[in-house]
Amino acid sequence: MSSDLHSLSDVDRLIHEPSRSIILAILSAVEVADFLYLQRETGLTKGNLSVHLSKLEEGGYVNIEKTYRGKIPLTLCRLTTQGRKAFDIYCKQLKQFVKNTKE
Amino acid sequence: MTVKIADATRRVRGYWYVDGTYEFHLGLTALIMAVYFFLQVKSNGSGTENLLILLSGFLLVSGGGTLVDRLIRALKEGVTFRRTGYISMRKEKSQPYPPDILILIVFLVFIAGAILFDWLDNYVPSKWLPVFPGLVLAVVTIITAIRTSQVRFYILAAICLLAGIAVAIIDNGQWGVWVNIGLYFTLMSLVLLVMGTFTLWKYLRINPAPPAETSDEQ
Repeated sequence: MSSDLHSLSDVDRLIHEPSRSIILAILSAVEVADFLYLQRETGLTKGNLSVHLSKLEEGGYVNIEKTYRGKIPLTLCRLTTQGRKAFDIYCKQLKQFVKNTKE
Repeated sequence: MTVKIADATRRVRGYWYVDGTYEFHLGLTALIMAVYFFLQVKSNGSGTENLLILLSGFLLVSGGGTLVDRLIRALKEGVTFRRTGYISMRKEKSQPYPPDILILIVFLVFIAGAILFDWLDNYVPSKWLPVFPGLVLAVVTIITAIRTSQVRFYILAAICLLAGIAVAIIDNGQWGVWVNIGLYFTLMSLVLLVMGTFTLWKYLRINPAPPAETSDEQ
């Protein structure tokens, strides 16, 4: 494998999964999003989304806050500083890979 | 699952505008402005009367603005967030200007404003003044349209400008500046409220109410 293409093998495997990269893309554009919004935008089932969010939380990329809106439980998700940095690096690596592959 | 990352982030930016509350916000603000300008028609009386009108105008704009903000937030929480979820937008951090540049910008804006005001006062007939708020609103709406990719804002921008021209054309020259501008804002508030109602109706049709008050994860 040439060094130009090697960049893809270095990407963060926690992010390099379609569902999780989309979750992070959405969260990178907002301050905070609730579970319902993420579910609608990603098209994932509640169970799947819950699993992916837990993995991202374990990795320190997402902060999950359980709160209430009136009497209704509400799950708020936000990107941590570490998560934002990791996602920025991931995007740069992908762009570099695409650029190298096309050249 | 095929969701493009760029599409997801673009939709995030447009989410605040999907339910028509932006038009309601602008429409109600335009209505407050209209009442404010109609109040100014009365401000040719005594000093005390002028002061009272100035004070009531201030109370109207500040109190009305706060009331509109609360109303829109209640509408968002009761309608939008329950149906399609909640997000709060990220505040983009911009580099602050150095103080000397900031002073220069304020000075230039002040000079430009004074020149524009003098030009409007001396060379533009008062009946054509509603075209200027129309132009400003049209530019703001076009910027919103570009940022959010919502096509209806391009139509709204055209209406903003055309409404100003329409008020200027139908004015027989007897109305005066305040009535002219008040009429423009009344017309715009009607347009915005109708547009907001239509957008909200479309949004509610696509996104029916959730079956019961349940947790978002259940």
